Amino acid sequence: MLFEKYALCEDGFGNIYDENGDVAGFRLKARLPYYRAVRLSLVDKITVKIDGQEYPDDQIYVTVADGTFSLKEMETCYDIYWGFGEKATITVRNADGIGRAFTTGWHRVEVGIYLRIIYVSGGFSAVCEKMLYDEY
Amino acid sequence: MSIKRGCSLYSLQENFYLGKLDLEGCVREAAKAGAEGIELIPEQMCWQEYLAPSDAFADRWKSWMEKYGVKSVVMDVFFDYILFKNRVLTKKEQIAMYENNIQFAVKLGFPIVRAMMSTNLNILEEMWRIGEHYGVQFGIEVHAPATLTSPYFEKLMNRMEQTGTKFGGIIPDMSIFSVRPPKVQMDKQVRAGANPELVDFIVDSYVKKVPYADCVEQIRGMGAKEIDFATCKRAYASISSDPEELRLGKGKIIHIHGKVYEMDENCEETAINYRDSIEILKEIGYEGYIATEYEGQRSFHDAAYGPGGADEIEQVRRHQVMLKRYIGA
Repeated sequence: MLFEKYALCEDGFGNIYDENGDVAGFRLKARLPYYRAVRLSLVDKITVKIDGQEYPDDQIYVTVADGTFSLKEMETCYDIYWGFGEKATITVRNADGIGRAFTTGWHRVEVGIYLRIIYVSGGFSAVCEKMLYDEY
Repeated sequence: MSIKRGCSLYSLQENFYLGKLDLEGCVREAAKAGAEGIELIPEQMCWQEYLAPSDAFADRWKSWMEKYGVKSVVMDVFFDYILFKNRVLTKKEQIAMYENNIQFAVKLGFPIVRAMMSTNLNILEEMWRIGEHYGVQFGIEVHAPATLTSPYFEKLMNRMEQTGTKFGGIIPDMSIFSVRPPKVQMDKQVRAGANPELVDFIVDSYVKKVPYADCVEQIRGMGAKEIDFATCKRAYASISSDPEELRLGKGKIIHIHGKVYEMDENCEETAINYRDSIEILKEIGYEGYIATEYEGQRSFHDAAYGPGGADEIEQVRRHQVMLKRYIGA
């Protein structure tokens, strides 16, 4: 595979808050494990795990230059790109966030990005895991 | 007239990905490294323009060609006909997608587009007809796991003969003339846990043309684990067809992908038989480009390698030196 060590960015990881200051979820930044920009409808699957806990599809949103989309919405985004090398923000809208349950700012973060690319059986994908510090 | 030297900007992908070079920077560095022609993958380095091409961008692109003294040679297009999870694109949609690509190529001044083997033979003639309308040749890349003698290419070349089209073509990727699995790929396998002794054995078996199944059995007897079997599969995915097969493409080869895994300090690519391939290309009267396509950078993309990686610009420079030497111009 390719660009797998770059897929999960070191910056941009941490809780997100709502207007009351309560934890509304968390975010991280990711890049494509592939050598060209992809139309969002080609993203077959995205998985997010924090310290071993996986988060469901319907809580996951992707923000690229042209906007923010849920995984379901992405299925029809055939003319909206996730750029080559573009740091997309992956947001998990989950009230538990990461800050409340844990005592340290460091977490084991894992993101999986799976692309439906016709000319390679199984497509292109990468699962990238890093210890990241909660910046927020 | 002789074979010309090009560079696919694919070779500088990591520089672009990490924000070290923008598109103009890639053109500049490719020209500085020796390229006379440029191959572009729009969805890699100018995707914002791809769906809505602007005159301003086209003017900028053409001004860079002039500024850096290079020519637009080939534009790489893809065939995402599984665009949607729930269906495959209809034949009409597939052709429309390709026609869009060709229109973009015309706008930027590219005379050739490179499509892939995943293109169904049943739309090929339509693409040649559309290519003729726009004055753009529609070429299909010959890439592992296929070779020039594969049924797909036999049929394609026969059809070219029968129709007499001047707008079809094939684009051999030099990796089909591999002589061994690339060392950088095998090193990555070792970092992933493959046994170095078994890796040496596998490479040796490949070079000695031991059949894949026999090699698998032999390493099984030597205590191979899952990663070692995966390495064997990886190694044997390298195609080593005879450069003589290039003769089948006389009059039909419109471009060459000069694959590079690793150029050594002597400016040689020791995993691919360039010397004989280029000799035969000369003999069959090929006068198009060989475009450097450096792909070794991905062999350093595993976490186990650590930070840093390939020097893409230096790899391109060395390949251009090698091309000069073998083309003899």
